[in-house]
Amino acid sequence: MDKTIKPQEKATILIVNDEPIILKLIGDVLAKEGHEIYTADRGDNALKIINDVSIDILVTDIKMPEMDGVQFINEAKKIAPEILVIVITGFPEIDSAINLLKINVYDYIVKPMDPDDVMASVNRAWDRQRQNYENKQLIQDLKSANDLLQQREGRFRSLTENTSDWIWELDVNGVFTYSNPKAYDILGYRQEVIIGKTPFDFMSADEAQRVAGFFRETAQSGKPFSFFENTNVHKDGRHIIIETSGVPFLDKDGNLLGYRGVNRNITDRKQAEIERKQLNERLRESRESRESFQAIVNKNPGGIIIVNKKGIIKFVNPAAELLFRKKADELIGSMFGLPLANGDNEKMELDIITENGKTGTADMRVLETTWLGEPAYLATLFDVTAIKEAEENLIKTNEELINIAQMKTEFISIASHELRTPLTSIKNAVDILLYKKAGELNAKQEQFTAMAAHNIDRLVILLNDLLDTAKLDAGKVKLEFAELDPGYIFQKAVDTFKPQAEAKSQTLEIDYDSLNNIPTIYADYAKIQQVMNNLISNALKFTQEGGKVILSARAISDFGFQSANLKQGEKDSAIRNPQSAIEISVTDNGSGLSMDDQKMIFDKFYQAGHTLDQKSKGSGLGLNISRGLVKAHGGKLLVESEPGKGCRFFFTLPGFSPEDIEMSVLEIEISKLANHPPFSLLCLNLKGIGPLSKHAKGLKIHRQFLAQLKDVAAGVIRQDSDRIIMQKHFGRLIIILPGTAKAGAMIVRNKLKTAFYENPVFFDEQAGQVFSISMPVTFPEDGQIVKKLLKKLQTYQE
Amino acid sequence: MYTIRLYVVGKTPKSIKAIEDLRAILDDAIKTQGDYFLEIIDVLENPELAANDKILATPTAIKLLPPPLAKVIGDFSNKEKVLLGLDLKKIGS
Repeated sequence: MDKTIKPQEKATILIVNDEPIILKLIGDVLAKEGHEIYTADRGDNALKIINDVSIDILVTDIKMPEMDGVQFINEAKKIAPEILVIVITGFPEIDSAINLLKINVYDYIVKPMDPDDVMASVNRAWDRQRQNYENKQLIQDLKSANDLLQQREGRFRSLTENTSDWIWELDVNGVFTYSNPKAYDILGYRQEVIIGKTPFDFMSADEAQRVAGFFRETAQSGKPFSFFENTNVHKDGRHIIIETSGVPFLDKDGNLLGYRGVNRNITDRKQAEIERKQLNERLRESRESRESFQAIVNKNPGGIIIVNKKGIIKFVNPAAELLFRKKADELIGSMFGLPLANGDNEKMELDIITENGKTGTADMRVLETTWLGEPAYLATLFDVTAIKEAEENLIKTNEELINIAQMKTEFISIASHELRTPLTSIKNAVDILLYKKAGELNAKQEQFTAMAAHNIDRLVILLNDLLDTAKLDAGKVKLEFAELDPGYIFQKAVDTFKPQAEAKSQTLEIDYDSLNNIPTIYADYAKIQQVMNNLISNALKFTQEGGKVILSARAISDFGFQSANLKQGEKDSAIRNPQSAIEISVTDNGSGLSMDDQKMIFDKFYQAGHTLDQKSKGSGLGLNISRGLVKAHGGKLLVESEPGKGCRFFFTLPGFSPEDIEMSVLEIEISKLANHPPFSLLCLNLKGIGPLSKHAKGLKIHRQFLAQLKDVAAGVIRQDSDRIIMQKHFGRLIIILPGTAKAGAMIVRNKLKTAFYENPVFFDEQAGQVFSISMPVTFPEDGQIVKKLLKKLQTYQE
Repeated sequence: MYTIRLYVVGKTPKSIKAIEDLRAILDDAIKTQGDYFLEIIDVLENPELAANDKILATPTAIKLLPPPLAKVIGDFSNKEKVLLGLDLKKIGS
């Protein structure tokens, strides 16, 4: 209980006595003095009061029931050590009372007591007690003042010495007059080193100049400054960024004596700031790149699915949701399956399944990747449903169109045939009339009959053209390759067209010089003649009277041909690039063709706008047919013209060698069989017959001869004669025996020998030619490639 | 007994290729060790089964037995990839 501070004037007094009269007496006397009085009749009650109330003076009888007086006082002192005790004692106990006084008791009063004595003793005790209190208060005040002082001093010391800041003082010249030990931690220099130096001694020259400028200005203004950043150099060379704050200090007259302040090392903070900035920048970049990546993924029209190694879906983009018609949360976690493609970037066509069954087609590509650090597969699914449907529709439409075109071609072909038969009868009838075999005609009758005959001829030409066009469209033109002599063709054409040219006083000439040094060309004689006739007829028709038409040929080296259409459906025949080619020209000096006409002249049914006379009008198919025939040979038919000066129609023919042509036809046929081994080849050596004729008559004879050979051979082989391929020309006839092994081929060979002996075939009405037949060559045992087989065949000839 | 279920759509060349590819791999990898059962399901005929097996696209092959379930989707021409995907790697090698 703290009783050190007792400011009141009057005392609090406890009176203890077992006689109520005495208690009353003493209490009344003391109360009159203004003291606060407590009374107790027993020791234990008194102790309770002392415990509860701050008692200054205790007035007690030494003799008490229940408790010994000395014991009581000791107890009371234990509770309140400051209490002053006045003992009331009877005479017999005086000695012990005196003893008490020495130790614990302030005063004693001997019975019978006088109230005035009591009052005087209490007043004395109270004065003493008050003095006690005052002394104690003084000591306490002194102590707390002392504590405060110590506290303040310690605070300052710890501030200056233990602070993380460098505390300094500079004089007006900028020289350190004080530095705390922290300078060592910051710059690596001891206080003693720093004092006497200037801050600029610890800076780079540039920085010193900058900071000196700042200090000069600040010192002139005499104002405090704060948070001025400057870079110092540590003893070890590191750059230390310092934040300086300072206040000026002045003498009594207000003159500046210097500055005091703190330097704070903010290098780490600065570094952290820079790092934070960089980190923020990186975070921003990564966020931006993540956002742009997400945008790319989300807006990607291709479905993107990422699955883990077990085929569980880990990610889908919106396009994939759309494709499967399921939300991402339905898809993620479900098993898609391990996506397999044949290789990176190889696409695999998948059918997409939804609740409605198959709903689309998608091209899948698969890449190995990682997802959140785990190996994963990325499957991109590109919806090709619409493309597939369009493709299917296109194929269907195309098929329909082809069917229609075929129907048209067949219709034209049939119609032409059907029309030609009655037309021939009409022509015969009209001819009988015209040549007066059915009697004389008068002038008018003859005129009309001649008109009818002329128009019948035109109709025949038209029908033939239609038939040719139909054949070309259907790819049914078969070419009979033979050595081609342009001079012969030219001569034939001139013979044919001479009367027509002379009728218009036109010159039709062959440029004989141009025929020197041209390579040997193999072509279908009849087809090329047809092209020549068409071009010459056009030239004469569209050239004025007295005009000139010249036929010429030349070797060319720059071809760029397409492969010859040797056989229908085999446009990409094995024919190699030709080593040479010729160009045949029909040049006139007529009116020429406008640019538009040049562009359109080869179109079906196109008629040039300036036909000289109505009679010249043809079917409009001639040039179209000619171009088709040249194309079938692998060449090109073109025109060049300068209006008013004439035009030149010219076509090219590739100079394939007979071996090339023979080889390519054979290769096509044989390669068809390569998937069905075995098969064998036999070669009939026709060399005894002589070379193939250049002339039309020769060709015809040759064809008849080959037909005879085929008939005899077919009889022996007893197979579908379509399966016997007879490659003719150039002294050899090759027989292909599908599905026949060597032993079988030997039997066929012997049979053929006998057959040709028993059935002589006729060549140009001469019978009994001698043949030799080669030993058979069999695929695959004798060779895997056509060339090798044919070469072997040659060596097997007898 | 290995049980593999293959989902296809229709009898298209694509389906036939998937069946042939898978059968060739299974013949090669499993038949020497024992028998297998390849069940071919046309999604068009058995849409409920496909929905049950959560088929998202075809061709998809599922190894049903022995567990655990494994699924592959796409091109089945690479034996190693298919066996890995169907968790049959140990048998194949």
